[in-house]
Amino acid sequence: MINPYLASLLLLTIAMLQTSALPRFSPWGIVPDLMLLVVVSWSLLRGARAGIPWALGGGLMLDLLSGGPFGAATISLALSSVIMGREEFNLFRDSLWLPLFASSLATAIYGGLYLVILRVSGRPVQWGPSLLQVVIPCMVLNALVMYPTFWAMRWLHRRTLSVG
Amino acid sequence: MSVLRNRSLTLVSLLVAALLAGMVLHPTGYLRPVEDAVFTMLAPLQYSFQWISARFAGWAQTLRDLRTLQARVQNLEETVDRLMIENVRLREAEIERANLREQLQFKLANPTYESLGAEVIGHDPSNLLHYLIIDRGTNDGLAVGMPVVTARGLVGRITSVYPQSARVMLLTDPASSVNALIQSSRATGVVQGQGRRGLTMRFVEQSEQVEVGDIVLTSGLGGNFPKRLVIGQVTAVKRNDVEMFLEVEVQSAVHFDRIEMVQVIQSFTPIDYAP
Repeated sequence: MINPYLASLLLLTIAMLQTSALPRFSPWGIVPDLMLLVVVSWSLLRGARAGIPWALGGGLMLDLLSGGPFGAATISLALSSVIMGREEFNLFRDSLWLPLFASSLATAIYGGLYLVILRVSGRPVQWGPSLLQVVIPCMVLNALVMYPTFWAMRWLHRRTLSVG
Repeated sequence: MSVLRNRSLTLVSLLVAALLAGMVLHPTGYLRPVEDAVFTMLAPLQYSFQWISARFAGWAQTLRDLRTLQARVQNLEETVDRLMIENVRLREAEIERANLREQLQFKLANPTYESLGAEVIGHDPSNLLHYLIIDRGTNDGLAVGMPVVTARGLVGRITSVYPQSARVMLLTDPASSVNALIQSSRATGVVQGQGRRGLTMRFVEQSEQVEVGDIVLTSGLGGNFPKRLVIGQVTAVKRNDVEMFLEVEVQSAVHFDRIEMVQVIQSFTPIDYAP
């Protein structure tokens, strides 16, 4: 099991990177959903039960920093973690295509649910432009960033698994 | 033993004789043919030895120079590193100077506004929302609803404020709406954020004259923003006979992706602002 203080520090660092550092290097005006990729990677490696605390912790940090409805990021991350942590995905854990497929699916789930929450909370939502100009480009960008993220999380998974 | 002794004695005697002969004959010039023959035979050998020794001397000098060169290269590398850092620092200073000059221009152009400069320290983590986080808060006198601008134009307004930071909703956020007017025709409408698509001005009557290139300003209606702040420029006008209003696409004057510093207008109190 990973040290909870280390996990908290890691999630905080990822939140800071996503809000303050990555926007300076954003291609097409879009920032990779680094927190989503980390949560999805952890869920793929250790299952939903281990991924949910990461989704909740990371989501709460993002919600605190976001101007959207509080809980939108948390709920969206949690659902993504539950789906990606299913045992069916575990069968393909060593497949080279799994990170690509997982990031695309998770981005679609995360973006779609986020839009639903925005709409339910009373904010105006433009479904077509949001999906075409934000969610789909995010899927592409997240797929590119997913591989290094997944490998880094896999290293952490193996290190903490051996320590126990 | 005696044979060897005799031989060495003979050799020494011959050499002594040659010495004496040379000492006698050399000043007279009679030894010259012998000298010529000796030098002719030895010259190639001398040349070979000289060539080899020159090479060795060169290598030795190179080894001696190597240490000096290493020190010199290290010095030059340190100088390059120092100059590179200084260059980066100077470029950052130049960018900061340009930003500050922009802010000063805004202050000079709008002397009636009391404004406070702030630096952008973060963006919204979601790509679906358009917010900035600035490094000023209630400790600096900021409050919810205060307009945020740059020298180029309107950026948005403060929606949340904390002791040392504040969150700014950008004009491009889908939840943003600003009462506006066309500078030339004075036609009024509402500029709404369209996310990554930019801005759209709605509720402009069909009878109004709106042309591409017209400047869009805040109208001050509703009391949420001061008057006459630049929003942007008209890029397209969509007329539809079955609709009551025009749809006007507006290009913002501000490059939202590149904002680093902003001005918060403190001397304006919005009316009944509810985020």
